[in-house]
Amino acid sequence: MNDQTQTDSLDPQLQHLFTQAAEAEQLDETQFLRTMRAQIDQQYRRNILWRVGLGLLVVLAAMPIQDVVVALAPLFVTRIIDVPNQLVADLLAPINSIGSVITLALLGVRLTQKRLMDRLASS
Amino acid sequence: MQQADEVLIVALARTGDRDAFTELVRRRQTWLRTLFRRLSADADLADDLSQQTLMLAYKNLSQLQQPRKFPGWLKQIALNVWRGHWRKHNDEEVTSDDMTPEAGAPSASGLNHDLRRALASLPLESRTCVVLAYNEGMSHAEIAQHLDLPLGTVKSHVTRGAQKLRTLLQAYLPQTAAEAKGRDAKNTDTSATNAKVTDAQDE
Repeated sequence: MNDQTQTDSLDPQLQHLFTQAAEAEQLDETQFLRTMRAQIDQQYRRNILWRVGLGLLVVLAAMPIQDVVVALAPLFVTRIIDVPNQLVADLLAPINSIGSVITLALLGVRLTQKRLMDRLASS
Repeated sequence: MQQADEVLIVALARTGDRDAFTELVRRRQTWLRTLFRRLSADADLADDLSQQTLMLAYKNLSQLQQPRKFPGWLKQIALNVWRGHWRKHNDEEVTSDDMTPEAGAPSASGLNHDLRRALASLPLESRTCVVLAYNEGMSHAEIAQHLDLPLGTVKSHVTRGAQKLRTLLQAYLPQTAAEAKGRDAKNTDTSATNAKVTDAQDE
């Protein structure tokens, strides 16, 4: 980001002083790295634990989730509008069901959330 | 070559390689800690903020799409961390007199110590603008954008802050011609006054 514009007149002597000071800065690298490594390892262990926990949860919840999905499956394919013409009914099938409406609604929510986040990030 | 290496290391770290991330920490820690030391004027706080920044980078590294943008991305995180700290503690800030160096000869503790003390004497907002301009080479417009401040305010902070630093750190700066002229004129005035006083005493 070293792009000072022509209008950003800075004192060259002061700039030189900052550079000199940065070069002369003495920092204890070893201790800092040790502390950082400990924090990184701790975070890594936390991530592993979280993933294992999530995996266990999925395994434990898999059967009940499957039962619910099986029970809801007939509802998802229920037509919203009854179309008498078979050809038109087949063409509209991907959007003419409760399942498709839920899917479209979720996609809409996701898209709105993404746009909102992008706008927030750029502002 | 160094840049290419870092891109590889960032790519490795993104896969979860802790050694690769530790290497990134090793490479960037001096710059980061120095930046926070200038901004906070407190070595311990600077290290805390550096650790916060690096841990945020570690947790969010998967969001970095282009490894070559790592330096700018890390700087952005650092500035966000600093802004967060600044907003929390802006009201608490008290500039203590003993942190303000006396203008004069360089102290035995050296340039870094005196620069830190001089920076500590500036108000937080002004100090941040000065450090980002002088330490990081950021343009006034960039600073204004990063800190959500009007451009005029940033310019004013940088100019006034630099003037104050010049005064406090004059022992480290070679005198400019204008300053030398001003000082000579002052000396001449003093000599003339002394001469008048002596004449009056003689009479």
